[in-house]
Amino acid sequence: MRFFKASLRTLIMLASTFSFLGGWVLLAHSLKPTSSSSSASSAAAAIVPGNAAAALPTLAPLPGLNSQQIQSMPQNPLTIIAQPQQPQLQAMPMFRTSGS
Amino acid sequence: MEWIQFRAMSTDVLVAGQGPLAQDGMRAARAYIEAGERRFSRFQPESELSRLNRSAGRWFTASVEMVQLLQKALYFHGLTGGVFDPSVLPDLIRLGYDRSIDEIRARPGMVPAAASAREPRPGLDEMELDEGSRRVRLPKGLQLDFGGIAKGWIVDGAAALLGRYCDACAVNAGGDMRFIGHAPLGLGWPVELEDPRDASHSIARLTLSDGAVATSSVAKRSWKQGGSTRHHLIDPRTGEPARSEWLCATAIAADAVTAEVYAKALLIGPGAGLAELAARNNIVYLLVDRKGNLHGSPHSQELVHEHEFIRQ
Repeated sequence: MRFFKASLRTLIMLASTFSFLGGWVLLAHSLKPTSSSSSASSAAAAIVPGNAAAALPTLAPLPGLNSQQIQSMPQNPLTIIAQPQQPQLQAMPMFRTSGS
Repeated sequence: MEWIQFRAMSTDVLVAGQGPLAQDGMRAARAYIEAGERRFSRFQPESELSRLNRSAGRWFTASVEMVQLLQKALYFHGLTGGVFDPSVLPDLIRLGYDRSIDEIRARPGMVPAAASAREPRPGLDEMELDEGSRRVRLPKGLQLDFGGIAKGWIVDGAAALLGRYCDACAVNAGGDMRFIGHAPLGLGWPVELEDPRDASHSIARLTLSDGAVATSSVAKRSWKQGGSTRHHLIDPRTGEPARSEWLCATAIAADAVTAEVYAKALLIGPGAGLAELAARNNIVYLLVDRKGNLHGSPHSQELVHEHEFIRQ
């Protein structure tokens, strides 16, 4: 019985060790996000000034249009994902809208 | 996600896609955008639009794409009560916008003052369009400049084409954007709204799902003429640059054409009727006033994140 327990412990230890090492090797060799454009890095850099503004104090909620401009409030057809914060994603460009 | 950037339609274009065929899709989308510019640009003498304008008074056989865009233009002209009007080209030329904005910016000195006053001319609803035979006849004196609606139409088409190659994709042409599919990591498509008073800052960050966004701004495409500052958003009722209380308007809709038309119409105004129209058609919009305050339609707050970006 003692021999059986020792064998079982050894087996579990070896299985855990090899599983961990196997997972490590798999992740280390997996594909990484790439950009086909050398200007991608400059696009990401373009939002840095905006990030710097994050230190500014939080302002009051947006003022709505005055009542004579808005009569009804239907639902928006788009699914808008509400998130309090969003991490920077290096794997995708930041989109900027400014008019043209 | 992979992406490419290039210049077309006198603006910066970004095409992004995700998936094993993204490279092929982006090449196809770029070719589509460049072909669209060649078709709809008024600055290229041999574009289809230039040939259509020269044919005023005679029947012109148009391409399928031209007929589709004319139909869209007529629809939105009627919907907005004439606020959206692609027939303001004579006014734009009179005010000095007679070449691409890149050429105007490169030209030394100011644009010469307008040589003549505005003349009466036929309206867009006098245009004859036979959709079946793809023939169109502009009345003499009517000249078209599709401008933003063509850009939105090209963005929608390029995104649809790219979507055939990619799991998720996005096309951005100078702020007219179309998103298809789920953004990487499922966090939505992040869109920064540029501060119209300072292009180096963002005034808000939005997160969008499948759909489109477009912005019209009086701060862009502006020039000096005879000591006066002009911009390209013409109020069709006066023939002059719109005297808007807003610096820019951003609209979010299901497609870029609709977003572009609403953004322009909301900026030109008048606000009350167009705000109601936008609400009836489920268009979400944001407006920035001359002090930099952000105003929004009902539910617009749901998509604005990181309020600390807002500056006053």
